[in-house]
Amino acid sequence: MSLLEVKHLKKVYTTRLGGQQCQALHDVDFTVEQGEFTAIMGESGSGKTTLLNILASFDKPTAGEVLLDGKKMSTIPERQLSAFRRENLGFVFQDFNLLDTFSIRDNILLPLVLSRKSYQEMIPKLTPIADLLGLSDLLDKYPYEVSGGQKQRTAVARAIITDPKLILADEPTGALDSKASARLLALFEEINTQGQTILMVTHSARAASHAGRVLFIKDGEVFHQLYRGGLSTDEMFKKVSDTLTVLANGGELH
Amino acid sequence: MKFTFYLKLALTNLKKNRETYFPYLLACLGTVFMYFLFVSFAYNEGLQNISGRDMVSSLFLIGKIVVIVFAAIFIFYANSFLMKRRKKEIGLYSILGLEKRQISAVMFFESLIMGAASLIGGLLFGTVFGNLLFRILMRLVDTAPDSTFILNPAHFAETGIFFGVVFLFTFFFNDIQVRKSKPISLLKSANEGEKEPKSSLLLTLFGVVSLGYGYYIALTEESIILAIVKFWGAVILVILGTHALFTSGSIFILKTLKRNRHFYYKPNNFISVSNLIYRMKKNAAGLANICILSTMILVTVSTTIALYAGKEDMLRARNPRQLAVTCRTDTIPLSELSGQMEAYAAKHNVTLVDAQNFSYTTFNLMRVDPYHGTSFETMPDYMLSYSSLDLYYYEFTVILLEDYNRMEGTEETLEPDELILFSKVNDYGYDTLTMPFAEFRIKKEVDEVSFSSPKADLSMDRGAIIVVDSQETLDTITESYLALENQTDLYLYTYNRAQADLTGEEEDRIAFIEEYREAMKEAYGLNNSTLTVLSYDIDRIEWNEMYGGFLFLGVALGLLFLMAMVLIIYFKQVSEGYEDRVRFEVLQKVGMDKRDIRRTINRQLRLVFFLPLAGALIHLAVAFRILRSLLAMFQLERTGLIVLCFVAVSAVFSIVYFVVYHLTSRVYYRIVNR
Repeated sequence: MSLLEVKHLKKVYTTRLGGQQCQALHDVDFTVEQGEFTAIMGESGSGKTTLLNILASFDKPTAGEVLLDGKKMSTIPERQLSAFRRENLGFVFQDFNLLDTFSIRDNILLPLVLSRKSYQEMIPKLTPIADLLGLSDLLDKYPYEVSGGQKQRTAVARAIITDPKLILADEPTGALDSKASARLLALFEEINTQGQTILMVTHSARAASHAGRVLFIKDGEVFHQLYRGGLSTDEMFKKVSDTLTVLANGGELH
Repeated sequence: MKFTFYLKLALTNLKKNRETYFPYLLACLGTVFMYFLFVSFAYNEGLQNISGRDMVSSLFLIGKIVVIVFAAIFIFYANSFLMKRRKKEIGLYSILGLEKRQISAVMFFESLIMGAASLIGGLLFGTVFGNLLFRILMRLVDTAPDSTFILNPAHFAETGIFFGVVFLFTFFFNDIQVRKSKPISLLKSANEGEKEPKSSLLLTLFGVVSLGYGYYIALTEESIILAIVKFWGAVILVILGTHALFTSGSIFILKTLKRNRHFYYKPNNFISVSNLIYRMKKNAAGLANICILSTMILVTVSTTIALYAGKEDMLRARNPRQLAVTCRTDTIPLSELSGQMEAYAAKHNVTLVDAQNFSYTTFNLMRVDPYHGTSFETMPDYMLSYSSLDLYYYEFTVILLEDYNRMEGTEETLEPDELILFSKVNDYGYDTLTMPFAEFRIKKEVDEVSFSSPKADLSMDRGAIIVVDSQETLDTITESYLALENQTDLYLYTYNRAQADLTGEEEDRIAFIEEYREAMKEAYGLNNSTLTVLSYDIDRIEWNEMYGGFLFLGVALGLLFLMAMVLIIYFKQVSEGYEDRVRFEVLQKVGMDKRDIRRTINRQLRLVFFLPLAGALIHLAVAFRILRSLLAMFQLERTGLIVLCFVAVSAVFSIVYFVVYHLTSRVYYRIVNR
């Protein structure tokens, strides 16, 4: 059984005024296996963010189904959704979404506190993660005192501290310079090799080339997918770029 | 062409920001209205026919000064708040290619529109409702109900000029803001990380000491004179202390809580404490202002209501009989004083009821212990420079047993060393009384006497009426007293007093009293201080003017402060809302339940907004004693009545506060959930 099964997702938005309909997702269908690092690519407006919002249970699909670990997301009652999200999913956002009123330490601990863990339980979890992400010296600092890369690593720490089944990353390198991006993606790979399943939405070919598999979305459908196999990151980058070029030219893939 | 462009842009800006600018406009309008009202009341030609013209005028001139100070501070504060929120918008104009000069022009038109709208609106309201309010005032002061409210162009001009200057200053302020700004920093300002506030132990300690000392003064000062002297000092200490504790003390407490890991790392506390630290940093000054404004409203309104409600009581205390005439025994003989009173009364168709004529002797000593003990000593010179003199100063009023028995309808008997005693303030409560020259036994302490004011709870006039058995005893007392050494301000005088209640028309009564007084003054070459005429009727007119005026002014100023407070609370809610919206979203994404978020935020909001109310109520409770002393100065000496007024006003105010909080928090939720 796959960790994540996405079955024939469809999402139609109705504009508030005028009642005009807009189809964001047409028919999206794919699965993610345990331990995979998957990237979803597509241009602006291709439906990436809508897809991620549905996977994250922030939004509901018009039709179709999402199963996490065999459990249908649509069957989870509204009241338990946030607890479900907290326990099973970890999020990394483009704009970090750190709380400026919390120190780096408290930002990382936030999901554990929300799950009512005791302080004694939190520290053994925090230390190795802070070490891994190079945040050990920054724990008492506040978000406005650290760099963008450090902020994003804090967000990653916050995402993985609950041992989620799946990490959802939405353009995690979007606000970072190339050096910080490279470091973050290397970290993702490292976390992935430790067994963490990651699903990342991006429109950066460089970012996507770090993934084990890349899905291309166009006009609300999965248009194509690439497996990395034994390729190096650079080779993968070339392949992803080529695919994007073909996509942009509106051509058919063989 | 250019002007219309700026004007249009200014109008669009105001419309776009109407959520904050409309309440601001209303508040400015209210301030203009109030100012105009006070100016036109103070100088109104319609007042000319009423007797208390000077009193009403000077009351409203004081009111006008309060409004001037208030308007200047308040309009400036509200304006700077609004500008702070619009930094980004102004940055955007800059980036879109408007020059600073041009933005300034837009700012100018904005100030112009706001100023013109509030002036026109305020003056319009003043024109429409001025007459009605003037009539209410006349009803309150209970004189000349037919006097009319006359509009005077000069009052319009004065109001226009004053507020023109105020709005011009707000424009200068905004202009400086625009000129100082750099577009990039303007665009960024909303996203700048806020530094974690530092709590200053020193400032917290200062707050504790300042507030504590202010409270200490208010709670312990026994002397009425000193209470009045120290009142403003205590007020300033409490204001400073409130500010220091709100700004620094609150953060100090929160940080202490944060350091307690078991407390801090719980979902509710975790979010509340860390948010509150920032919230307090931004809002502490505003909250302290709300607290102080609330206290001002409570104090102003409850004291003026207490004075108005206690008016009759105070009149009765001052005038136990409707007419009381007093002069020294060596000026007018008692028989003449009372005989002429009867004669003039008859002339004016007034009848004297229960007339009382008697002589009495007064002298003063120092009560060694102001509250306890039976020992009365001579007052040394240095006591005169003692500011709490009123506590020690004790006046004895001696009357003869035969007069007492006659007036009270009793048949008491006394030995030469025995007294019947009536204490003017509180009970005396002892069996003996020691003067430097004699020792007396108190045969009986009475709770009231028909010929003097009822017992007061608190008063500057400490003393007792003592009844002695005979003229011989009185003569002995007089001789011994006048022979005292070491007594400063040695005075002992004997007075004749004729007093009665009156029946007859009020006009006749007043005419009678005035003619009688003038005739006696002329016949014996006396003046107002050597011939004291206390008349309930005459006092009533004066007191109605004074306390009716007080009440009107107190309530009007109370409403003005209330309006300012409502606006500050509203502004706070709006700015909180915009800040919390972001946090709200993040928390939701991180996996916090919507309901939980709402609950935590609710808790924080309530804590933040009810802190000032709690502070104000505590301030009022502590201030009660010292305010009671101030009211005693006005001869309001009934503690029960004052308590009732304070409690009632606090209750009404708390309800209003709650309603305001509730209404404005809707705006908050609308912003957060948008």
